[in-house]
Amino acid sequence: MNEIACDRVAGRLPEHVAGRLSPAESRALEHHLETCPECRAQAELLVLLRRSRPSVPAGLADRIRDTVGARRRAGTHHPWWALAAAAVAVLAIGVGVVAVRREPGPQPLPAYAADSGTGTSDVWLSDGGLVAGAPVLGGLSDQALEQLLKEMGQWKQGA
Amino acid sequence: MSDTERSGSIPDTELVQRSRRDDQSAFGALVERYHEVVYRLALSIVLDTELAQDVAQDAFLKAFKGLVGFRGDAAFRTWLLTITANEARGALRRRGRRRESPLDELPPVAVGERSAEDEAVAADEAARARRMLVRLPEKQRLAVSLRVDEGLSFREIGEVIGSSEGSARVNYFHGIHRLRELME
Repeated sequence: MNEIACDRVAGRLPEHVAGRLSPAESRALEHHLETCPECRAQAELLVLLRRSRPSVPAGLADRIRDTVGARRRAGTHHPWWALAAAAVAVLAIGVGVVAVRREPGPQPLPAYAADSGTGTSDVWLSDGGLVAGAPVLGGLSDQALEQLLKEMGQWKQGA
Repeated sequence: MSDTERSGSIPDTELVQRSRRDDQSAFGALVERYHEVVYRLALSIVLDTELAQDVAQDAFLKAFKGLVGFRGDAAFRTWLLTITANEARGALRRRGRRRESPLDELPPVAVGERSAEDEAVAADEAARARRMLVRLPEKQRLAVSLRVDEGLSFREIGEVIGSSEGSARVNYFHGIHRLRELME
């Protein structure tokens, strides 16, 4: 027999020794094995392995079923439809909250900001309602800036 | 096509769908159908009968909880065996050691219809083959046992051991070749 035939036989030997082949295919393999010592030796090894398949401890299936059943009764398992329903509920609540909530509209500027001479488009408010950013400072006079820095304790005369 | 579907009984896909609807009897049928292959795969990795039972149980528990996310891209058997292999490796890590050669624990050997003397000789040889199998590197050992003991295809074996179909094939034939050397 040529190598290709041996390769094909070797690939089918597990099914052959397990009795999963059709009678016709099984006969063809048997014929090959009669004339090919290499494949026959491999087949004999597989037969030995099949014969020594580890047996399964008695009661294992029951033990597994009992454990899974207990876990299910304990409520740690949720069927997929329950999880899906929960997800839909959470989504619906989230959508409702977003729909009801209103984004705060433009807030009136404090007087000191309005007096700075900057437009509202250049001014933005911090979370505390204070005016933040350079546009406000940029509108102050030199005198006002000097006064501000003095109050912040960072002004040094002549610096 | 699985053995189950070939044999005409309820297909895995139907049992899985029923299990996802919390049908406990359907999951029980899956346990009945696959607990042996799951146990033997676990044993092939952990090489300890007690630990293999724990792994089999944990694998089914994880599969049960994971049915929600099981999309059916792979066959249920392949998916379950992949979980089993991961659980077995995790169990070994938790135990902190890997038993290299448990030659003191011979697996029980099935008894065939032969004379007592022939049976004894054949049983000895079969047990020796199984002991030699344990000496193979893990991927070769798994490829041989999943192919010979369970009849998985190389594609399925690749999915379970985390390799390509071609690599599973190579591992199988290297394992068979090495086993024959060890048996000589």
